Amino acid sequence: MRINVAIAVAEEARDRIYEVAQVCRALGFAHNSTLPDIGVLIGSAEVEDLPMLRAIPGVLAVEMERALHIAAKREH
Amino acid sequence: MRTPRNAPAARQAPGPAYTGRSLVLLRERTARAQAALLRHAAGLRIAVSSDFATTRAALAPGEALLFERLGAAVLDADPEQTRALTRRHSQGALLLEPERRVRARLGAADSGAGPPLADTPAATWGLEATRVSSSPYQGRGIRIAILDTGLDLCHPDFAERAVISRSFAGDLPVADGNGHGTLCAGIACGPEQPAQGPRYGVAPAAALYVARVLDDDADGTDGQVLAGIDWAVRNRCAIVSLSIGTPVAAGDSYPMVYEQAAARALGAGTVLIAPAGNSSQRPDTILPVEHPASCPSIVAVAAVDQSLAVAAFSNGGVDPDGGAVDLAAPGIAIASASPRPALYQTGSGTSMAAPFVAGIAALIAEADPRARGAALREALLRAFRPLAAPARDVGAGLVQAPR
Repeated sequence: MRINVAIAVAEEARDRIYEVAQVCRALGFAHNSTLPDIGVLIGSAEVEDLPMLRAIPGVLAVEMERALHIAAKREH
Repeated sequence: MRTPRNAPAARQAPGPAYTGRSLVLLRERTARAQAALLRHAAGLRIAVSSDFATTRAALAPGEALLFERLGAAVLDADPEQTRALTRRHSQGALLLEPERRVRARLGAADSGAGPPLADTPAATWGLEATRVSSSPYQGRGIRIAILDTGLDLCHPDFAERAVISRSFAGDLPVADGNGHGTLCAGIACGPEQPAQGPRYGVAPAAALYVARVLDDDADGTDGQVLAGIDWAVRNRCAIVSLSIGTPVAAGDSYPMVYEQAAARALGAGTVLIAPAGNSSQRPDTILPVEHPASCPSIVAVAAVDQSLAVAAFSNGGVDPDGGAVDLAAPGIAIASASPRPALYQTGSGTSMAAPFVAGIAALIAEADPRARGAALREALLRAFRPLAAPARDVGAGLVQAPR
């Protein structure tokens, strides 16, 4: 099953974020965007590939994307 | 046991400093021996603290409340009993002192017992409660990013404003098709003199950056939100207000991706502020602070009502691993902007409380040019007024604007 994921790149690898992204892609990560200012890669991956992605040097965390919603009730 | 020199009398008349009762520290190690000494030496009746669900404040005359684990007791002894204990005190068998009144050193805490605050013709109740109305600061020169459902860029209260905006919600424009984003942007940055009604914006002079990360149903994804955070950091926004969340299970740890992103944002000079969440049903159910506010590097905001009591829906810091509430802010019946044609609306939620804190962060940043990133976060967490509610529910207290 393919899921959307966010990959945090470790602080010591932030200046190599594009290299880390390249290694992730080689291991099946479909790379949608790079967020260099916060050191995050956005994309999708097969669930069974997640342990491999987590083991890549320079990868701090790989997390499944969550749905987010507002926190309010409104009256017009 | 030594008798302290210059000790006050064993029992003092009730007054501002003393309760009229006595405090005794016992040498005996077991509760049984402690109780026996008090009973035999002074004829006191013994109540043991562990027999009660809560510590009793009231003692009957001639009674001692024994805290057996501490080896101490509070006594309401008559003069004869006090004399008997004083003799044992002078023999070194125990230490006897008058019980003092104590109070927290936090300053006056709001109990919520006063009359509820209300909107006035000049300002919404939240601006009064947070001291924004009387603050000389307006957020001038400070960039605030609102990550939400967008903004009605042609709203009369924003049409003259230079708003920097971008959508990360697929092909959707920045124009707010939901209303939540305009409501939140209005609270953080609405004008000093709106087209209609009282002032509702905390930082009217702040530079407003709007990142649309949610669709018209107010739904979004981590990818969109993280892209918005990255954009705000790149644009050197001092503050990011994201009134979004998703519930977490009790005991869940905070997400590393967001924590790392928030920590890097702090390092780059950007403070992230998010709502604690609205899924509680107090007093019976208090649910944990939601994602992403659960991250330690993100300022988590609870909601209070017009009586400064915690809102029934406001989530609490019930998870030991992250997920603490940092501050509270107004979050009930908050008037602000609405997309045309309504122009104005009222909302309730921790979604409303977070932009209050974001706006006040801008006022603090204007007041102190050194306050950016982690320093701004620290200054913000010091800008509070104590509340009677526990820190689990309101963090340090009600956020306050700088004077």
